[in-house]
Amino acid sequence: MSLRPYGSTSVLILAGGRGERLDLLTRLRAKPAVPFGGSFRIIDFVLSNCFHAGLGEVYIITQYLPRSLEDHVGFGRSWDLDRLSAGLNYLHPFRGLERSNWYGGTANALYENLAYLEESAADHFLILGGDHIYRMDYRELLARHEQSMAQVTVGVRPVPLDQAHHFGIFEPDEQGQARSFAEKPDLPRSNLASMGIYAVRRQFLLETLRERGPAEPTLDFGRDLVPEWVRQGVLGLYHFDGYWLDVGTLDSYFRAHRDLLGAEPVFPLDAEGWPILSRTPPWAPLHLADTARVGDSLVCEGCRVRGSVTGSVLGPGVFVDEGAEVVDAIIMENAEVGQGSRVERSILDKRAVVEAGCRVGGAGAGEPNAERPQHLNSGLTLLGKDSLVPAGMTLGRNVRWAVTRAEDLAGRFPAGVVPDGSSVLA
Amino acid sequence: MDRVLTMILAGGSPDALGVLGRHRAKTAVPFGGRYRLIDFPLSNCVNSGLRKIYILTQYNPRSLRRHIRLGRPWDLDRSEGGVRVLLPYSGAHRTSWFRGTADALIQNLDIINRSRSRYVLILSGDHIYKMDYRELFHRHVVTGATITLATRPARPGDGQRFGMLELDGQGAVQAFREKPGKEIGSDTSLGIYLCEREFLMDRLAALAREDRTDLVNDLIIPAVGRTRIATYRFDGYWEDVGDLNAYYRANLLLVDAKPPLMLNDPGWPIYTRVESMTPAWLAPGSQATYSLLGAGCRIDGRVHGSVLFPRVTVEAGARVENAILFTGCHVAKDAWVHQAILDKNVRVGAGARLSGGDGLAVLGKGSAVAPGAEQIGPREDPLRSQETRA
Repeated sequence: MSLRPYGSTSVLILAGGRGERLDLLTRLRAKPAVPFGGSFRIIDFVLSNCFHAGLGEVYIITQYLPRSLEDHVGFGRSWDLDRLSAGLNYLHPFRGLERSNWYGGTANALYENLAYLEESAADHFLILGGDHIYRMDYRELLARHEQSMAQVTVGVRPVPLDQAHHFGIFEPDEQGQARSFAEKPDLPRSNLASMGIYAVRRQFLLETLRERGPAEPTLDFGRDLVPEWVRQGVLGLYHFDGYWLDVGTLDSYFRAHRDLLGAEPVFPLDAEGWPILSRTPPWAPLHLADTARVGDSLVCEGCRVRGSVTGSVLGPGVFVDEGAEVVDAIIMENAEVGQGSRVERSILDKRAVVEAGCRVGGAGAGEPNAERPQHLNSGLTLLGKDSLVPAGMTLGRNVRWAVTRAEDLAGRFPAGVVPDGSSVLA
Repeated sequence: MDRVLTMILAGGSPDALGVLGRHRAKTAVPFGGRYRLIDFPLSNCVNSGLRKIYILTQYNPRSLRRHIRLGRPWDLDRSEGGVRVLLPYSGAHRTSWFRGTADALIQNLDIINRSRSRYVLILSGDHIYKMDYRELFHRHVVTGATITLATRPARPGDGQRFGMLELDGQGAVQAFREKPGKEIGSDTSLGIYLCEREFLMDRLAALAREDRTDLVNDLIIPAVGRTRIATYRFDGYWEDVGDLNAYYRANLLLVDAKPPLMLNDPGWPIYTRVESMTPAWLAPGSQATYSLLGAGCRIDGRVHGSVLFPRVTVEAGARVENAILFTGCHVAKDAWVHQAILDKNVRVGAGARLSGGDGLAVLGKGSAVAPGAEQIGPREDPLRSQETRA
């Protein structure tokens, strides 16, 4: 008899998407590899969920800019996934004798790896997105799935109705099961959103892929398969009411960080019994100088703070010099804020340097970004990886900034002022 | 450096560290907001390219072994070489505890004999410093010495705590006196010895026959004048934190803007086992200055001039000043902690006042100060509140 209430499970994490709406943050890395919460990457949350649920066979499906993700995850040491058998592996597009294809959709990515899925001895496949922030015990979903007659069980959660058009929406019947499904509907019939979490019985998934895979190179779970499964009546819903956030946009990414702050945060990073695991290089303890004033903030090891920090999340190794002010900002690993500079409502990617006497960002929405008005309009200013803001400059709101050398600016902003909504990418 | 076998002597009993050493080996005593003493020599080894390392220990080894495990954080979980903790065992030859530094090596002589390394580096597990052993090694090879010692220029007080050296013009040792009581000679020995393996094997075998047990008195000092002993003069920070005052001072030096020992040094990282990864939370209205904080700390009150290890909580209205708080300590509302060292998981109740006065208050692992209690003045309190044993 199995000790588990459900059969063996193989996990497939979809981590190949571009995450275009995160703009500069995903210009050089896949969305699951975007830093989050100071010391973490977005994918740490789903991998930690797997760890706590005792799931030891994990495949990560990559396509878009996988290097940063692979550097971080490696072969899963931090999550005890470096095992003798199974453990962690990557499914990246490859050349083969019969086909050599890029992935055209989420289900197509699995079809292209059909041979590997057939090799797995698992009774169920658990298909997860690599870009959500949540804590969930998959064992409960899997136990429910195993007990039900459903071929597929989908994790669902209520979302604010005004956001529902960003999600796949189920219309529930009286029993809370799916009556219909629409992917990103203009007029949502409910606020019950798919979390992109699918438990599928092995045989059913393999047959579905064999049947539809060959003719549909863009086969997608949300767009093609879920509506079909609802029609066939083989799909059950698993209702989840814990914290869950799709950090798909810069605004939601920023808001999610706000949820980490506070005496009783909406989403605590250090929940008892369910720590988030990550790869941790050797940082020294955080150093606070005599002049440091830090409040309402999360600050990682390796930081050196001499100035003031409020309402912010500082990743490891960040340096805030004397007289500098950091307000409502997300500052990633090894970024620097120079003497007397003020950084407000901004996201500084890794190693971004704001030299002395600068002002970056500000309160209020301001003018939307001229090139990306739909992605950058709430006033956030974005500094790309390795970017540089030379001494004395002022950057407005909704600015995208990826200048890495002062000489690239040669005379472009003679007054040193970059207005709201600008994009300065080199 | 693959021709060097490293033996770290970590067997000493930590009497001088009082209650901090009650439940753990001295080398496993926490230091600097996230490390343990052994991390310094061990990281020096890794950063110097040494890959065959043994740690010889016997006193309360559990916490040291859990810390080291297979050496993963130091990248020492290797197919060949790596790190291993050696304890005295009963079996092949005589059965006894390690009776001294040389005896510890003698009881593991088979490892030294079997090794194909040409050199053996002998280190102490409880010194705080960052040294590139390659420079010592280079000096050894250039001078053609049989033994090379690391030294520093003698300082006042060294004569009571360390070995004192007289050197000739080339830096070769003319006289070695162990703790002579005053500063005789120009240099102080740092307890770091690089030896030719053949020489060491012969001498240890001889000591075993004569039943002598001390590395310095029975092996190094008698070798003076008989074989060439060179020195490598080290000019960096080096500290023996073998007693509570030295330990306290060395920790609090780290909170300076320019500390004598830089922990945050990308060129010479100090590796350690990670216990916590979440960022520290500093609440609105909290004030933490001139301090080191470990991961996962939660600060609502005020912290100044202190070193806090991971997951320390300081509630609103509480003040922590000039103190060292180990992992998991909890300082409740309005309490005051001053001039103190709190071992792991110490709880200071609401409104309690704890101060070492003009000395130090040291509280043992898991102990508690009752809410509202007042404990002023130097003290060492080994009692654990939830324990029945005295």
